[in-house]
This record gives sequence, structure tokens and C-alpha cells, in this order.
Amino acid sequence: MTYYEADRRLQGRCKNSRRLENNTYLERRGENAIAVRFHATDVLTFRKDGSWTASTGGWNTVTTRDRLSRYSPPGYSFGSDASQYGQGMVVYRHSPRMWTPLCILEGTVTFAADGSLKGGGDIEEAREDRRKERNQVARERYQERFWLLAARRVQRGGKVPRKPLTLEMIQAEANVSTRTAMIRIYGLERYLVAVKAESIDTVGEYSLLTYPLEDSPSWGRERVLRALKMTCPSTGTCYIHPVDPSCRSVSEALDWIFQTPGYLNRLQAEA
Amino acid sequence: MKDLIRHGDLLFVPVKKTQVSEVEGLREVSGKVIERGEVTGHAHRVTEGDVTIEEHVRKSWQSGDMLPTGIRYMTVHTPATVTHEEHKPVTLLPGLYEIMRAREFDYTAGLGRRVMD
Repeated sequence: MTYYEADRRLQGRCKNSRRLENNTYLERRGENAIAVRFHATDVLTFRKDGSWTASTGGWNTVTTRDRLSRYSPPGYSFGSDASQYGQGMVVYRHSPRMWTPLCILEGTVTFAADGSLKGGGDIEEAREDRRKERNQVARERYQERFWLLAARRVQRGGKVPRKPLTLEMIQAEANVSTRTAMIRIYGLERYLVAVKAESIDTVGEYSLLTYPLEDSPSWGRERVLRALKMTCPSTGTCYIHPVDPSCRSVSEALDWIFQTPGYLNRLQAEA
Repeated sequence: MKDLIRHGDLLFVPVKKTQVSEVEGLREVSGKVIERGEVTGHAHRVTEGDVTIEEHVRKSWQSGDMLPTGIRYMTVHTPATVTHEEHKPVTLLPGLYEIMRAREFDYTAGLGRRVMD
């Protein structure tokens, strides 16, 4: 839509305002401007001199985008491309090439009659910000999986990572796969010696370990850590599985882990 | 009686239908993935056999959304094979199973928590 098209539609009894569609009105703004109002926001304002303004009023929604694209002058579209430019609304021009991104619609963007624009966020900056954000996510994901990947590399004969690995880091790790990978790199024997672990019960491959806890709150219990050493029957990987400190035997520990009484006697198959 | 089947950090415990029919708020889970690892991305999934997985949900007092409570049941209609990238496959015979997920003790919080892998 242009100013003159809008002006043609504002005639007769609708000379000041005309409903375009749901919550959307074409309204005069003084003598030289006509606006497309969506709810309470003038999303588009056309001026007699050929310039026009686009604004979301902070409402970056699907419907705002739809109204902007539908009523903007020919050759312009409003869209979003989160993978390239993040969450902002992108202004596209379709000449000389289709879908040429012009700017990010932040606040208000004014297009002069000659096609030059004023305002809006820089498209290259948005692309760069998005690239940095993606890299940051990838870095965090890599950090999260660092020890898992390192353990796999070591298993295949690769080098042990140089990143320092301490007992505190292992004990603070909440994810069992990551913790097991860390123990594998640290060395199971070294780990058990370092925590001064003692076995208090053994049944087959299972062993209930106990070791003193120095820095943790007691929670009204003994200041010891009890953990069940389990070996995966499929991979042979050894897991150190912290259990409730009230567990006194392997059987009690297994019942507690799986919340199922009589685990050892009832076990039919495991993998 | 030997009836428990363990597959990594999951334990399949046979239960009676009458026990489950009393449970309210069961919602069918689409797909055949029983559990997926948070970091590894590995999953316990049913590769053979016809099964229905249901999870217990409760209404959130804040948002009113139905949130899973972590209790899951699996009805095995025909013998099913459960596989995982790190474990050997196990076969489950037809019946109704409660899927127990291993827990561990968090000595910092002083509480048991679900094992994450």
C-alpha cells in the first residue's frame, strides 16, 4: 500500500478511519499522513512525500509481521530468520534481488521516497551477534560433554586431556555419565585411594563402599559417603553410585537405588 | 520369583493391571523412546514389538499445565526388545511393567535424586 492507495480508501463516511481487518484500521494522521493501526500501534505510516515508517511498537508477533507485510508498499516484506539474525524482525526488499535483508526492525524504521532508510538495527551486526550466540551454545555444549568425549578418545588410545581434573570436580559432577567418564580418566583405583574408600559388603560384581565425608553437611546422618560400585554387564564400565548413607549392605543399596524391595533375589536379567 | 529386568539405569518391574487402573492422570507417550540421556543423547528405545508407554501427569498449581511426575508404565502387547547404544538388548514378555529409574543420593542437598546420564 502507498499513501495514495490509502487515501483512495479513506473516502466518504470513512474519510478518517476504515476497518481493514480484525483489530486493524486505516486512519488519517493529520493532513499528510495515513497510518495502519493494529490494536493501539501505528505499525505503518504513509506520508504524502512518498516516505513511510514501519514500527512494531515492541510487539514482535506473527500478526504484527503479517500486517506489516500485507500493507507495506510493494517490494518490501517483514519476516524473521532466527537461525541467521536472532529473534528480531527482519525487513526484506525484493529488488534488485528477492529477499534481500535490509535491517532489523528495532523501534521505528523510516523509508524515504528514494528508498533510503533511517533507523533499524544493522543486519550484519545481527548476523554476527547470532553467530557469536551459536558459538557460545556450541562451546557450552562442548564443555558439558568434554569429559565424555575425552574418555572416549582415551579409550581409543588417544591422549589424556591436559585440563586439570580434581577429586572435588568429580564429586561435584551431577551427571552420572560425565562422572563415570571423569573417574575413568582419573583412574578408578586412584579415585578409590584418594577418597579413602573401604568396601563393607560385596556381592558378585557389586561392592558397597564407604568413605569419610569431610566438607559436606551431615543432614543428621553419619558423616560418611556410601556408594555402590557397579559394573555394567554390557560394557564392563565401572560406576560409582552414591546411595543413602543408611544403606548397610549391597542388597539394601540396590533396593534403595531402584526403589524395589528384594532386587537381588528377584533379578531375572540385566544388561 | 525372578521377575525384574534391568537395562542400564532402568528397571522394569511387572505390576498388576488392577494396581495401575487405580492410578489417575495417565497420558500416553508417543514414540518408542522410553528414556533419553541428558548429556549423552543415548536412549532406551523399543526397537521390536508392540508396546504402549504411559506416564503419570499432575496439574501444575502455578500454570495449570499437566506435568509428568516421572512415573511411567509400559504395556507390552507382543514380545518387545529394548535397546540402548551402550547396553545389550533385553527382551520383555507381554505384560504390564512399571519403569523404575535408578536414583542416587546427592550428598550436598541431602536428598535422593534421579540419575542423569
